[in-house]
Amino acid sequence: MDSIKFYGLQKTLKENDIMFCYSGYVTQKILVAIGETIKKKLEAEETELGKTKKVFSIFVEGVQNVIRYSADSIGDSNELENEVRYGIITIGHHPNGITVQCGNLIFNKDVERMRERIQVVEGKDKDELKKLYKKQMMEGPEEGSKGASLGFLEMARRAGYPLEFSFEEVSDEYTFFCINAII
Amino acid sequence: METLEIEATETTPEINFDFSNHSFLFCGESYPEHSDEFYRPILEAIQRYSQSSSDNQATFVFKLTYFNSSSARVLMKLFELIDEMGEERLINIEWHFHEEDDTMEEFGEDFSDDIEHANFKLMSYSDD
Repeated sequence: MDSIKFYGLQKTLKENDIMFCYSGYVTQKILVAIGETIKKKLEAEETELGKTKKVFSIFVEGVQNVIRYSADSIGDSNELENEVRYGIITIGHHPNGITVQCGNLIFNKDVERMRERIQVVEGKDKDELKKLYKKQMMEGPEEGSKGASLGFLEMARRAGYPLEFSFEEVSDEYTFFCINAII
Repeated sequence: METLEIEATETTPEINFDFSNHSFLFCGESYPEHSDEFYRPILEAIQRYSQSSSDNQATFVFKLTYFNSSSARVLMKLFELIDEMGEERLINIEWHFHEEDDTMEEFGEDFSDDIEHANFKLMSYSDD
């Protein structure tokens, strides 16, 4: 990248009040490392413990979702170990709190299934989310979900505002999927 | 049964099951990539313990500071097992949470809602 473009990238992040940005392959190890950094950063800013925990929780669910569902991967996706997925994660300040945003490419054919999972949390208040969460815990993971259909519910419960989801079709094969949470 | 000790890692809690003293400890954070794999031997150990005939009272202490949703699912199963034991003997569950950590407090309340036989105690602590 030439230096002007590189500066532009930094400027864009700064203008959007992003304190942390990671773009690249994510693994469980990278998640742990970034998670620790975020916790330290929030502690240094004297964020209340309860809020730091919620940011961390949403971050973990968001990133584990990328690890599990991203289309853009290296290695055999059936291999449980060494699953490496590509995504972008930002943490920033927002007039209403702290934002956690996660994006990744998914296959166009998976969009419908993803929308269905989102509809479960959309428009629900905290009590409804709590009941749904319990129901999902009892029922166990849905078919083909690799174990974390609860993730969106967890994020929705911890966020201070409704989660924002978006799908941008970027080619015949891929859609950029993005979740934004404000805590 | 021999004591089951698992040291904490960055993403898994410390486990200490002292069967002879009937005390069971879960302490730390839990967000492994594959929760089922981590918890399988732990659930099995509790199952074996529950089958051993004993009327001693048992105490389960939870000092978890964070867990992800797939760990929550396993914890739910674990509480079902523990609560079943409560039909036969006295079972105490202690759920410790930091006073400012409303997420862990709420989880404690969520889990305690479904407990019918065991004694479930929510216990808050502070920094000092």
